[in-house]
Amino acid sequence: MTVFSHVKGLHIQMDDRKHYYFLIAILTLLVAIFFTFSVLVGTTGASLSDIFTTIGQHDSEISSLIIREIRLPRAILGLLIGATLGLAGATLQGYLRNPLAEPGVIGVSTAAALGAVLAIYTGLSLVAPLALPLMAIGGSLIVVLLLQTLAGAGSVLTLILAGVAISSLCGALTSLALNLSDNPFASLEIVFWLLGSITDRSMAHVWLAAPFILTGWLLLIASARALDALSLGEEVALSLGVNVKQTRLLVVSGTAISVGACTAVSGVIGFIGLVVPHLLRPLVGHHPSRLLLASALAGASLLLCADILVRIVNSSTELKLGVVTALIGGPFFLFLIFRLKAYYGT
Amino acid sequence: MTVQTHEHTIVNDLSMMLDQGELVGLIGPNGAGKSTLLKAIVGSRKLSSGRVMIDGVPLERLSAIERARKLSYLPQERYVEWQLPVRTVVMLGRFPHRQGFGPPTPDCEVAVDRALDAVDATPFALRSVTSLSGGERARVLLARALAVEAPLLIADEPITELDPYHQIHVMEILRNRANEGTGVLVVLHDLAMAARFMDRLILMNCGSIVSTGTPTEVINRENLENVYRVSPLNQPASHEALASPWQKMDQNN
Repeated sequence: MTVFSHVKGLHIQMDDRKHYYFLIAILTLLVAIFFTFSVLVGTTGASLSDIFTTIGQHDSEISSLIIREIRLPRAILGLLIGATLGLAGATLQGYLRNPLAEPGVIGVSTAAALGAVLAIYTGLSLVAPLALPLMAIGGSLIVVLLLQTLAGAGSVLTLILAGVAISSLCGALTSLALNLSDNPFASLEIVFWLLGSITDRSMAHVWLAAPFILTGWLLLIASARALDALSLGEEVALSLGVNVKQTRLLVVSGTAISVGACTAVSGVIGFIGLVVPHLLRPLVGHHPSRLLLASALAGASLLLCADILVRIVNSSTELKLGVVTALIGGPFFLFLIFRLKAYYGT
Repeated sequence: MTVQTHEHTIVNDLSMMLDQGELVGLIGPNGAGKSTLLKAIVGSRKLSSGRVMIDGVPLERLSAIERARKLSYLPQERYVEWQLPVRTVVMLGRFPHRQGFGPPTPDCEVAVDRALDAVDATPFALRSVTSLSGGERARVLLARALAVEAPLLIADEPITELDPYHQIHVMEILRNRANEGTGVLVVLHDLAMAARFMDRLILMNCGSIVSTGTPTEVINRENLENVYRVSPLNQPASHEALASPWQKMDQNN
């Protein structure tokens, strides 16, 4: 019996792994396709060969400049931000053992947004354009310190409550800045910035955000194995050798640093961190650790796809990316609640 | 060991020992401090004073992984998030023995198969754990604890949700594990099971040990009346433990 089931067990594991690798290959291909389209699509036509000839050359033709200075940074940011939101969402859902968790739940996005709004409100963003992303990153780092102070040794519930409190406070302060702003142009800029977009971003934005984003990714990925053990609760995870406090530090810091850096260059883009992990969970056999890479790739695909849609939808004013993702994510959130209600029977 | 909150002493200056190959039952009424004592032993509840030693080494000197390999713990709460397959849940028991994200070693596969077989869970090993009945889930989580294959196993009420057949089955599994050399400490409320299967019983009340010894020595009229506040059904034969609570003491009076 044992020998038979051992062989059977190996087959199951192998099939399971093959299925996972196939999924990762498909998602990687999707990212490559959407990334290429993101560079190609726009009012100025471009071909695949244009992309390859443009990258690495510094000619001053208009089409080359558009690809190099406008579309490439936009596509890279789309990829980085989408992957971050997917990865952070999957990690937070695994850590908090809650399918409704997303990066916003620990107040990171709103704190980064507050930092950016203050840069616009005080006029610092006009004096030094990089002040905006830098203040946004500063906002998210302050959140890490606050969360560690408020909920460092407490329960998951304490962490969520602290996140909600910080998020509410930052939201209120953002509203206060809008309320007190006597410059209508600054108010409009704040509102547009809060809607979320990756239009007109340069390689400077990529270089500024990328180190923080990549650092955040490393921290989040380092927590992956512990997330599997946490499926059985903190007490069992602890008895299995998981350092629960260290895992919390990795998850909170990784989310704050990477999502904060994303919000710093794109504004608030919601719902990707919620929707993507939830869609993919059944496809990875509900393994929290396997969900991370899959969600990162799917998040990048979804954001690049949404950004392409924003560009090709015929409208006098370009739709903001954050609006489109919220329009997709909002109804999905409601669907999720109805499904959970049906699942638990109440 | 002493465990205190701001207001109460839950475990009060208590000392105990568990040998390898021994099946020990921790019994006592609700609120006696049994589960808190187990949490303190596995390190999830901080001791106010005292220490836990494994093989003469203080628990805090062991790394988290070393401790996990020596001490397997099944808590009272039957908690599983996500619709994980049964086999995956049991494989989590091998967490302290695995590193990185590679496939499980043949040793791990064999340990998981053995644990699944032991609790009769092999037929539903591929089903989602959330689709199981309470009793089936309890057995799967016991299999997870068995799969660690640690020299010490600590289980908090492992038979509470089980039908009589599987209660006896689980007690036999624990008995066999002890016979194979594992030191097993089990919190139980079923005095009949405690009397039948345990080598030794520790009776707790209000955070302290009231009585310890063989089942016959511990489960007697005096302890039932004073600690559990119940009177027994019958006078037992001299060689058997008094294991059938029958009436509340306040109904007697």
